[in-house]
Amino acid sequence: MNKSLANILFTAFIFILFTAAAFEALTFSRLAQFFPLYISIAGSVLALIYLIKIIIEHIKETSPEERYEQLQILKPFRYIVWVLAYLLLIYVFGMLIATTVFLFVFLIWESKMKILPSILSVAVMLVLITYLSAAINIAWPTSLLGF
Amino acid sequence: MIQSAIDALFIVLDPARLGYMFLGISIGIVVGLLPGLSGTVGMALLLPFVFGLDPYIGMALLIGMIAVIHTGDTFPSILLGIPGTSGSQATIMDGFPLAQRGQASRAMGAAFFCSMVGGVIGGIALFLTIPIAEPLITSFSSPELFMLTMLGLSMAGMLAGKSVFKGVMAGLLGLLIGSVGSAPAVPEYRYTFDTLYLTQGISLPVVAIAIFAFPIIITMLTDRTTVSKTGELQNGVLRGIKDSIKNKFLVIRSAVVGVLIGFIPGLGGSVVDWLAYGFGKKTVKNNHFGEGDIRGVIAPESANNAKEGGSLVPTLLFGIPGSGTTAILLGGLTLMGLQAGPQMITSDLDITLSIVWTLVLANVFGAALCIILIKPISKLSLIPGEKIVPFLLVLLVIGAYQSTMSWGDLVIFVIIGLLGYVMTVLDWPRPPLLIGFVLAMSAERYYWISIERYGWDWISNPLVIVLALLIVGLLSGGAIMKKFSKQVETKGGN
Repeated sequence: MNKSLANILFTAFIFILFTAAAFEALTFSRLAQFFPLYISIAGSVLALIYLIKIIIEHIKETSPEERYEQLQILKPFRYIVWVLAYLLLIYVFGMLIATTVFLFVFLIWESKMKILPSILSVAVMLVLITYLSAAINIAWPTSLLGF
Repeated sequence: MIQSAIDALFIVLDPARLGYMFLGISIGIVVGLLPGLSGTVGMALLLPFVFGLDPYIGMALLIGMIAVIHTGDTFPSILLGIPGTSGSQATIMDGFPLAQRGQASRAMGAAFFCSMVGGVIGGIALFLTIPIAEPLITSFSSPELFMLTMLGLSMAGMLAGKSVFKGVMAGLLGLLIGSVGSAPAVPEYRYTFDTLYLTQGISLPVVAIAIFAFPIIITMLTDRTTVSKTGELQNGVLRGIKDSIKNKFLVIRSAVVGVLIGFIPGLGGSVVDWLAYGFGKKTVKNNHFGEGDIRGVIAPESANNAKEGGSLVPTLLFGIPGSGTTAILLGGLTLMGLQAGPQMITSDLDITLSIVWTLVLANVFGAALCIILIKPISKLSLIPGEKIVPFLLVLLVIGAYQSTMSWGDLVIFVIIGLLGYVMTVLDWPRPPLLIGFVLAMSAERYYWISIERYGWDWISNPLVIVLALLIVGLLSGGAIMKKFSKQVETKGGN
């Protein structure tokens, strides 16, 4: 996807977000609504003006270097999936198991590290987070299985 | 007063008390180093241990920790582009680009030196303002506080970058996200969608970590690069210190901004670094703020440590805490058999003066310790992204979870993180969003109180007019201030 088109889509999303927030604000009582209502109306108007401006620029090709600058989509998406998978693992199995599995698989698969250094790195991290938890009372996310 | 100050110095220099101060310093640096942990976490950790302690020892421990949090938080801000605490957000703007050019040591040398000087100025300000604190603090009521939030919001416009449209929209988006939760004027929840987590609003550490850290980790993995894009690490600690000395007037100006913001309870310390950064950007000639200008590190780092001295004035003398950290400090005072109030400058003056000395000494020792640690820690910027990011992600997840210890924190981390990533890719500025978020609740609260209490008469308050003129002056380019800024600040930014 080219950058110019992505910017149009994102601005359209921001416009919809502000507009929806303005409509939602109308359901609040008078004293609760004045701040979010004015903010979202201002945001909505600005987003609309900016959206029209960039659509015209896109059509007129006034900034071809930006228009044809391609954005990577699949590669970032792959790493976003890694983050989501780690959180899912924590949610199901708990911090210790999830961290062990995530770190080990990531280091072998993505970082191309050898098995022994990977095991050592994971062990050091586990000791560190366990120590932090015990020493300065840091809480870990709760999990379905209760680990 | 001078004799009392000398007596207090000898009390603080007692070896046992110094030992406790060093323990506090060590904990403060670790808390600052780990993204997501704040001074509140550090205070909550130490509080149980001060029960029944000699007040001098207890205060050495607590103040030693508070004093250096904004020194230790510089490491992740510069090396990884992730704010260690909410007080080091603005340091990222130029600190991280410097690290990308292999100049992390220079940036950290300047940052730690300025943190030390700022902290010492904060301590001196605490000492000097003890006799005049009351009229100073009571001169700020809700209209003036509202104008201060407007001053903070005007920084969003200044940090908009090339597109003012994008910057203002990002600021408005921050204000909108900040209005999630309970309304300050009436008992009513907004934008909570029947979710219990959102009734308390979205917490600042989660937003700050997500908006800066998430894009960094995805970008580092996608590009397969190290933080230092040159692949080398230049020695530059001394150069950074020299840069700071060369920009001494900027250091002092920023520290004064920090102290003044610290004095005012209710504004919140999270905005102090942005204000100092914005002032620096507007008052320094020929600057390249945002592109790796060392003066963009000097300004916020001088201010965030200085703020601590200022914030202790309302806390100790009036029992008005300006933040979660100082609120717990008040609890600590009670546990040690003390009470905040006017007696802190009469019968308990020696305790107050020992706090001033502890603040000054902890800043000096904390900065020295961090300078020693620069060399080993800055090697982090040479580790390839795919090897450091998984470990970073583990720490970020744990850090984000500490805000309210709810899964909602992690969901928000991902949502705001994705928003931050798209904004980064499409060149939308992220700092205005954070400034808007930080100031949303204060802006609404003080506006509402001002209108309810004074109608529209508050607009004619002299201090309100002064602050309004200051905002107009800053937004119109700060040309006059630039004219008077020292010649030495016009060079050597890069």
